[in-house]
Amino acid sequence: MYHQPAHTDTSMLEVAVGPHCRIGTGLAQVYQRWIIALLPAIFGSYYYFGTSSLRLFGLCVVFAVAIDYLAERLAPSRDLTSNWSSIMYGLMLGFMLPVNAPWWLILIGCFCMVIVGKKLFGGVGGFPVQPAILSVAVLQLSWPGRMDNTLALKDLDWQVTMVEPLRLLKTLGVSAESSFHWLDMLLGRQVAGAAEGMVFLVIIGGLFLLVLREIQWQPLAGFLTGLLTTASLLHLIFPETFATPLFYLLSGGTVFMGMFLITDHTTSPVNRVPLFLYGVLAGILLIFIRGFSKHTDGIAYAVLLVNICAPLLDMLTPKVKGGENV
Amino acid sequence: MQGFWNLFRNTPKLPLVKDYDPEIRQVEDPERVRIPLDYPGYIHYLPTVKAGDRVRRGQVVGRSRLGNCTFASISGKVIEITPTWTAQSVHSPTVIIENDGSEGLSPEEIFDGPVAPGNALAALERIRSAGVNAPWTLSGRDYGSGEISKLPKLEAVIITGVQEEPTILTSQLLLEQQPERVTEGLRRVRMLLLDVDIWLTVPEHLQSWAEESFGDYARIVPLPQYYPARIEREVVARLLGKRIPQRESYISRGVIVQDIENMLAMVDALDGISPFIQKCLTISGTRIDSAVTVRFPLGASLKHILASQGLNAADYTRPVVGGPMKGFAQYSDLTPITYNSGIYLISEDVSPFDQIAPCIFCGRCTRVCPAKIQVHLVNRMIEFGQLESTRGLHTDACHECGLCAYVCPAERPIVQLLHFCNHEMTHGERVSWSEEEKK
Repeated sequence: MYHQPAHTDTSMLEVAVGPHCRIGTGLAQVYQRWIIALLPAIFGSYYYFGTSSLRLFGLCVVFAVAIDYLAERLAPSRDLTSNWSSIMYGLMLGFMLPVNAPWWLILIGCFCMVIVGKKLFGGVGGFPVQPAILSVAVLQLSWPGRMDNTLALKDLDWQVTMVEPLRLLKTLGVSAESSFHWLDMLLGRQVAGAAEGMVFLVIIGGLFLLVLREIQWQPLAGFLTGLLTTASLLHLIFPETFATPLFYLLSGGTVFMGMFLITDHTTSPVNRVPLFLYGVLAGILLIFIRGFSKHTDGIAYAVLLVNICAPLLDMLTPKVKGGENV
Repeated sequence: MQGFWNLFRNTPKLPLVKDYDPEIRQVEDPERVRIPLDYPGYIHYLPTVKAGDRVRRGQVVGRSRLGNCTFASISGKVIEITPTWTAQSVHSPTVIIENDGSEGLSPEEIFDGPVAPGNALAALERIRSAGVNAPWTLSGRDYGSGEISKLPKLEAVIITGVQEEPTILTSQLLLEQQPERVTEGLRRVRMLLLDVDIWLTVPEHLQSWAEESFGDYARIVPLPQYYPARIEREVVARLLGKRIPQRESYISRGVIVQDIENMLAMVDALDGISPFIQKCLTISGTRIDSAVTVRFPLGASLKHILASQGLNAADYTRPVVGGPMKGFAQYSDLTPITYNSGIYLISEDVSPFDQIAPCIFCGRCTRVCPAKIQVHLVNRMIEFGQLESTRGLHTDACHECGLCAYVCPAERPIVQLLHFCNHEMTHGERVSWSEEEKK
């Protein structure tokens, strides 16, 4: 019955679906903000380690983008290289690698991250676990000698006196704690990955994301709750083997995990209560893995485990309003 | 460069009008008007004129089975009755009238005097024959074979003194400028419907004034200036304690939601002064410093209304009929405007997408949803054609308020996905949304 009306107007206007005002400007902006948040810690890493840190992050980004681009050409998908996600995850991988990682280790890490961690699960938004963490876990299992942060620092010409809290805690017990100053650990003068130990600078980056509402406060609050509670309890029960909660909070990549790894939007739950519980679980798991396993840091396995729990936690949904009408 | 600064800037607020002109300007009669006869889902008018007839302003050109009428808004000659694209995003048969500048009908020729107060049936007859109601407030969905079927008893009347979209000011201006007529309208509603609750929504800053002026006839509901608190069905749910899903009309649940303008038109119709042939509309936009409100003859084209205020649709990215959140972009500025209350002119290039970006599961849509639907799950299920999986997720609680798509960083068309899902789940065969599956 209906047919197209004749147009007396030659210039047809553009149309689009509503709503006609949007906050979002594309995925690239999200990942660009994350990259900006990672930058302070990268500068800190450059300050302590010099050009070898730049080499590490440079190689990470180059390899990640190259592999992502190749994968996009070979198997086209909607996960475009131009959405900056591979750069962001590449930098995150660099955070957790030792400073003197050889190029082939970085290449394998980037391959695991982009192909296994991201593309095989359907690209950005599809993966069940954080790709950078998956890659770090693979590398730690396969080349434990190469992933040793302490050895990496021995190769370097040290400019500052680094403390290596987590390893000494393992070997000497809680008496080792007295040899560190918390300010050293806060400012990043500790043995950790290339940038994950820059606690203060990581916090600055995380606050940037929090202010822009790119990440939620619930997982962070839950993480601190879970971590500090568990650490306090264990410190009270086993005062010989467990250090004070502040030590666990400032050492290694704990803050990096709380600010960047468990708040990753793809792998964390969505609703508010599950987000908090997810943070609590992450904190508890981290302390247990650090305290009772042979891993010195253990953030990789804590994040992997808690990521897998995310869909389960997300089943705690609020009741749909008006759902009874259906 | 703008994009670079946006990286460091917090999320912008929902659109508001910064400034507005309180005067309601009269738009001159256009060269031709198009009067749509069909509002699918709501009402269908049968033409009472044919091509070549001369009509006068106020003459009936279409009548529905229940006696609802639509009018010629200018005097002139009916050129043809033909399908036209309308602002309701459908093709509808339209009566096209060309202006010849002659006088309209006088009120005595249209109506036989005022309706006796208290005569509810005569009032109903008059309201229908004066075309007072916006089509989407009519019970068209609810009647079969000419009879209104099983409508429940009326419980509440909600007169909206603020429009849902903050960029539309018609109701607010009429409320501020014509309080006597509004009082008269509320009094009439109270007389006709003796045992219903009457509510009047007003802007927050007018609350105390409104309590004083209209407190005797209606309960005053202050609403803030920002969008999420104004979503109409949410307000109705808050007032009545029950939610009315999008697929059902208010009247089918015993509620009438009517804006001030239609109520004033009802007063005019009952007094036998004029039928509803002129409508108010607010023109606003991101680059328009001061929003203007105009009164135009029904069926005037978008182009004519904009030109009367010195605007041109081609200077903007796209003209949207309605507000920015729920409005429809128009592909032609010759679209006739009838019962819409707003035009929103967009200057920025927003929401363009060739290919839908993948969802990154950030969950902002779910956290912002006023109905607490698990939007992040549902929109992906629909995207991948798993419509059956959405059963039990209560997608039809969706009011299509647009907040989910507003916050989506990937600019996904989430409202449309949910709308599609609801449509497919309620009626229709299973049709796959994704292009890949069709191949």
